[in-house]
Amino acid sequence: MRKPLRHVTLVLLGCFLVLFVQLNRVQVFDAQALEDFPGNTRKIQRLFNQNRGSIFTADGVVVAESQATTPGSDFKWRRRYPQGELYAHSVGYISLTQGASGVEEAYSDKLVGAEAITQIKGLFDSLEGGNKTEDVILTLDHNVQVVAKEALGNRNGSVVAIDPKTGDIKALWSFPSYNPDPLASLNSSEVQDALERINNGNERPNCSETSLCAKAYEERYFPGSTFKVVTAATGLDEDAVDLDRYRFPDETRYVPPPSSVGIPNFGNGVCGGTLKEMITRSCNAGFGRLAVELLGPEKMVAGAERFGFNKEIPFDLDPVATSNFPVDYGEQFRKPTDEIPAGIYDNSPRLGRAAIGQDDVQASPLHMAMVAAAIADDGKMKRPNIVAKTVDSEVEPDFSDIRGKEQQWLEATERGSARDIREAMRAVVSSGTATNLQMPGLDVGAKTGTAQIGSTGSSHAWVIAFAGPQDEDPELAVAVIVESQQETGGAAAAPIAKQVFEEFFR
Amino acid sequence: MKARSLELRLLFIVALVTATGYGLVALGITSTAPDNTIAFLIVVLGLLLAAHFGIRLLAPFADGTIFPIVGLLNALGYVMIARIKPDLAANQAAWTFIGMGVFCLTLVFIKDIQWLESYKYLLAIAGVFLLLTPLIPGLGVTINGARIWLRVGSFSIQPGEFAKVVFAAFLAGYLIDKRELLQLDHHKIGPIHLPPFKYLAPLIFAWGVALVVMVLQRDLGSSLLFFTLFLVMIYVATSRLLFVVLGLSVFSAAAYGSWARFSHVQSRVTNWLDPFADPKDGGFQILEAQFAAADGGLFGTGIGQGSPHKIPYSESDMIFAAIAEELGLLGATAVLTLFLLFVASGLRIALSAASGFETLFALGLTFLLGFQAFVIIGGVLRVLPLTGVTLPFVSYGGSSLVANYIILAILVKISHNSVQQTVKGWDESPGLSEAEKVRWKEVKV
Repeated sequence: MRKPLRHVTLVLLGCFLVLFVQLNRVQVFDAQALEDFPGNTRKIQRLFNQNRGSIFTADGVVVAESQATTPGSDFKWRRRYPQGELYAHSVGYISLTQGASGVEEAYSDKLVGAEAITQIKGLFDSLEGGNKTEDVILTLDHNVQVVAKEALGNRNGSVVAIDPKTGDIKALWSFPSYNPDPLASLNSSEVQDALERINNGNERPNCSETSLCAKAYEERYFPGSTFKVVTAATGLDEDAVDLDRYRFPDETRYVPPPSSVGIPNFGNGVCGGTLKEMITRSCNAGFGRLAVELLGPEKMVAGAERFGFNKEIPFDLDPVATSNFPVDYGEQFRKPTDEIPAGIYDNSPRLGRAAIGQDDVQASPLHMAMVAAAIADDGKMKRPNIVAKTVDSEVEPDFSDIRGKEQQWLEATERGSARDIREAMRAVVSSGTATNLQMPGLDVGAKTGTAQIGSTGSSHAWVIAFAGPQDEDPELAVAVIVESQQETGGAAAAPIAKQVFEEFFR
Repeated sequence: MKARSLELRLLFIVALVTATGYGLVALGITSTAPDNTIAFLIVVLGLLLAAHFGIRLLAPFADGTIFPIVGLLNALGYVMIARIKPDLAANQAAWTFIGMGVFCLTLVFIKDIQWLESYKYLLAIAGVFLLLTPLIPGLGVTINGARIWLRVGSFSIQPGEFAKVVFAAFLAGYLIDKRELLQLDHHKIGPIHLPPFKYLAPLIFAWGVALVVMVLQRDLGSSLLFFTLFLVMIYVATSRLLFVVLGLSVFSAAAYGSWARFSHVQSRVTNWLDPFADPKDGGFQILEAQFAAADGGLFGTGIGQGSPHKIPYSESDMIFAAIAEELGLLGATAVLTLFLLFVASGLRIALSAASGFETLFALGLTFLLGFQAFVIIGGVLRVLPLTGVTLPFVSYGGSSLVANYIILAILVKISHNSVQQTVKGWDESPGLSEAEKVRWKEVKV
């Protein structure tokens, strides 16, 4: 019986070998995929039960902190959001059943001290039952944030304010917002109730149906006339026009070939003149003409993409909307005629509307603030920062000079073009569509937008603007959108931007 | 080194490891070391030493590694159970006491294993009777869909666990008796040559009845174990691969048939192949086991630091997932290695056994435990469909623990017998000097 016994031994050995291989697969090779499987709640529960560092604004206001629970509780810590809805769209939440979002998600490893360096530092602390957490300091300025919220009030919309030099976001507010505090409850039915209220009872709401959605960077809108800044910069960069010599015809509408549908000016008024005059008065016809006849699709697409359209914005918070500029304009007409001059494409009429921020042009409020900031900083578009830095929780943080790391993302436009457009945008404030933004002692430039929503009669009211002390470089760029208004951008959005500037330069 | 002193030293290590684990459980959960760790150490050590002296007295020549291996598995299981379900720790401790007691009693009562051979038919009847008892109205109870339990006072026992041992004894006895006859080619059906049906019939009958009962009781795991045990034992007894091939064909047909017929078999297979398709319900248990093991990674979360409660039945059938979570790949590999060492010890005992019956019996018992470990660990790790059997010596469960200690006692006794026979051979050998006899015993025993 020796030989068959040996066979049985080999079979059993083979069985255990299979187990050993599979054990390695599950515990090592496939472990990450299993950890990340949506039904796996272990990671979030572990995170949830760990102490996390606090989150502060740049001026030291506590936005999130972990409080020890009473002994005997199922969890050792309860995350608190003392500012309620004010910072929800940037800080996010950590929730037992919903996972984490915002900075809580993006900086989770830092907050719990899971990064290699803090782990080694915390090795001995962990023997004593604690780990080395880090605090996160945001770039947001509490006072500016409060003003942004109050200025927008109960109107749906967003306010984003950026330091053009560093890319630091000073205010990021969208209405409606939500209170993240109940989502961090230790009681999962409380979390469920809060979530139902936030989502208005929708199971899988889209962005417009839930205040969880940070419209400032997750939602896209027609940028309307604020986009003319991009069209103008492209025209200047390509030397197709200059600021104050080349003159566009005075007209009420421009009919881009090969169609018969015209692009009318606001209120069907007569509008034209130099580029500066066209920006000041926000002519539609001339900008359509500029894009269709002087630039053409290739240059317009390249110009928009230099400003970050069709590109993923490098941002810490997830998900961030990618702004859109249409790229497909069909075939070029080969032989020019009287009606169809050279350089016209099948879909040139679309390009004419895209040049004034309509058709399929879509941009997030964050991105439009970045456009304003790029103009304000000689064409250099910075990576937007929401977090300035992280610091060891045990060290008392110093809030005297908080700034994020300056990183250039794009060369949006040439320095000269940026300066020309700043001059034109200042004219918009001094004598154009944004006279509401005039502030004594401050040098302000702006571009308004009133983007009609289909044929509803109401529009999104936009303004993008920059401001700085007299005769100095701009120090803050702002984008404001107020959804579905009967008023223009200059009337509805500009006063909000004005309050933000006043608070910032106070 | 002499077997008994090796055993003693290993047992000290086992006690130390167990007490450390016990201390770490409390440390992991409450961050304070329990003050009764020393007392616990003394109890564990006392229990192991009691069994050790039992072996010294009743089976002094037995293999010195197999009991410490089992001791460590049992202790590790106890620590995990105390960590996962502290309420059950006292029960498991009581069952461990009873198990060790039954272990010593088995050593006392079964003086001569060979003696069992002559009662093989009685054993077969006893086995079938044991299996059938849960079907007796009023006595048997259904737990988790399987009617394999007997309610006795406040305890539930699983007679099937004991039936397996009895069947192994019957198979060993019958096969050893009829092995030559079973090697005959009496019937020719095409290329297949079969022995006289007369000699196959009792086997097929006992085996068939047992399988049908287990299938009726919805005890898939035990059916699988018993089926394989039968094939392995007949193969070892006759060296004929034909039986294995025939058996596997029957198995495939039966497996397909039950898959096609029974929804509970279908759902097991579906949840095995793709648990991700139904993560909240059917695939839940198996997925939580995967998540737990993945969470453990290389070094584990640390004992008392994971969340094994999330896995349904993490204290019994799924205990390996809890071990993989909290002790990591290293701890789980250690458990696999312990089972492999157990199998190696058992097969060594089988190879050197004093009689053919003992060889076959030892092989059957070793295979039963080794394969049972494979079936449940394979189920947990998604190598096989999950079937509810315990991880021997580790899982929570009294019947299984006590039955397994009977198996251990039989293996120990078989091992003791073989060495005793050898020593007797030396003593009676005229060619050996007294000095040589003494020296040989020094070295070998």
